[in-house]
Amino acid sequence: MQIYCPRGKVLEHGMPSFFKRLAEGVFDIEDLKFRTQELAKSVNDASLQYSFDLSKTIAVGFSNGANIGASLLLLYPPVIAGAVLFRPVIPIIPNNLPNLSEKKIVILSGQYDPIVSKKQAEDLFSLLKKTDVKVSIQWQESGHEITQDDVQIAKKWYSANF
Amino acid sequence: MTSKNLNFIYRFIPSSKNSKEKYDDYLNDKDNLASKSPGTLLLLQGTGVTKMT
Repeated sequence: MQIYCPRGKVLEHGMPSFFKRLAEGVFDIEDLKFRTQELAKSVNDASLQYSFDLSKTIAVGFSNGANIGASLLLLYPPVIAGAVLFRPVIPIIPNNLPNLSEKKIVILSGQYDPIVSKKQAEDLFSLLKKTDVKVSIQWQESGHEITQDDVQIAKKWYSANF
Repeated sequence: MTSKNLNFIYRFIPSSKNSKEKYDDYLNDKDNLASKSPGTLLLLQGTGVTKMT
C-alpha cells in the first residue's frame, strides 16, 4: 500500500487547510472549486510519477480533509475509487450530479459533534445517494474527534470493499 | 486534529515516511491491512495538521 499525503495550501490563522472558509462552516466556493481541481491534478500527476492505480486509490479525510475529499468525488470522480470521510459536510452541490455508481463511500459522523450537526451529515448522505454511489453512514458516540471505534469501522469497511 | 487523533488514524494506515524503518516494518507485517492491499490511500488531513508523526 502506498500513501499520498498532500498538505493543504491555504493558511487559516497559520494552519494549513485545503480551501478557504469565510466563516465556520461557510466555504469560499470559488476557492473550493479551484483547490479541488488543483488536488485532482496533483493526484493524477502523482499516480503517473509514482505508478499507482487511481482505480485503487481511496481518499481518507478528516474534517476539512473529508470535505475536499467529498468535493473531489463530486467534481472529479475519476481520481479516486472511494472514500472514508470522517466528520464531513456537503462541501458543494454541483450543477450536474455525477454518476458515482462505481464508487464506495463510508461517512463516519459524531452524534455529539459541535461543529457538524446531524442534519449536515445526513444531508451529505442524502446528496451522495442521489449519485447512485454505494454509501453508508455510521454514527459514533463522539464529537468531532476521531475515536478508536471510527478506526475499527473504517478498517472493516476497507477490508470488505477493496 | 490532535496528535491523539493522528495516532488513531495511523493505526489504520501505515506510519509516515518520516519514520521509514517503522513504515517498512509495517509493510512487512503480514497481518496488517497495508501488506494485504495493493491500493493507495490519499490522506487528507484536517485543518492545522502540519506533519505525520
